[in-house]
Amino acid sequence: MSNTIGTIIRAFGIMAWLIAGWFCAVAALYAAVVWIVGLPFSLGHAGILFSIVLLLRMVYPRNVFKG
Amino acid sequence: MELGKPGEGLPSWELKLVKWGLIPLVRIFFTWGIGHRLFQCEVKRIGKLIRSVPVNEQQKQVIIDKTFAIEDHTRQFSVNMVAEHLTITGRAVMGIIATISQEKPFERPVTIEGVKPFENKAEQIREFEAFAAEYAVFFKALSKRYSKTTVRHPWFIPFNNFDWAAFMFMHTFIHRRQIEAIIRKLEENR
Repeated sequence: MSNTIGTIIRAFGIMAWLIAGWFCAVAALYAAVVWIVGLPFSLGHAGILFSIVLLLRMVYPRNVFKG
Repeated sequence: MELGKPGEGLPSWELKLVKWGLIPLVRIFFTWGIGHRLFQCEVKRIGKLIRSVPVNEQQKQVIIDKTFAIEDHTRQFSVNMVAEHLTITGRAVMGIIATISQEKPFERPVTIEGVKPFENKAEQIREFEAFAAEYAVFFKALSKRYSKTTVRHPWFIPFNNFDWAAFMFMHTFIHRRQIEAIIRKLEENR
C-alpha cells in the first residue's frame, strides 16, 4: 500500500471512529431518557436523533463548509 | 532526484480532498478536547518512533515515496528534521491561536517556507516534547470560545482558533506517517 493511500485510509478511519463515538454518545443519552420515562428504545429513533445532532453540528457554532 | 521547491504546495486533488472532505469532517466531529487528546497521543507515538531509530541515523536524510498532504520538497527529511518542523510549526500555530483568541489580527506572514527545518540537529525530539508540554499548559488556560478572527492557512482556507487547534493534531498525524515512511526507508537501506 502506498504512503498516500495508507494515510488517507487512516485519516478517514479516525473520522469513522469519531462518528461511531458521537453516535454512541447520542444513543446513550437517548437510552437514558427513554429508560427514565419508561418508553421502548428504538435504534431508528437514535439514528434520527444522531442525524439531527449532525445537522446542528454542520451549522453551529459555525458553518463547516464556510471557506 | 530533483524534488520540488519549498512552498510549491500539494497536488490539486489532495487540496480538494482536504478542503471539501477532511476540514468539514474535523469541524463536525472534533471538539477542543478531542483534538488536544489526539495531538498528545501523536506526540507520544512520535517520541517512541524516533527513539526506535539508532542515534547515528536520526539525522540521516532519505527520500521517501509521496505521502498524503506533504509537499514534494519535504520528502527528503530525516526523522530529526520532521521533529524540528513540528516544533517550529507548533510554536507558530500556538502564537496564532493565542493572538486570534483575543480577536487580534495576526500580523506576521504565514508561509510554508517559514516553517521548514534548517538545523537537523541531534535530540530534536526533546525540543518537540518540551513544546508539546508547553502547549498543554497553554491549551488548558485557553478560553475555548470560537474566534471570529481567522488566519488563512497558506494552502487551505481561513482558520479560526478552533480550526488551528484541530490542525495541530492533523498536521502532527500527517508527519507521524512521514516519520514511519522514513524509518521504513532507513531499514531498507541498512
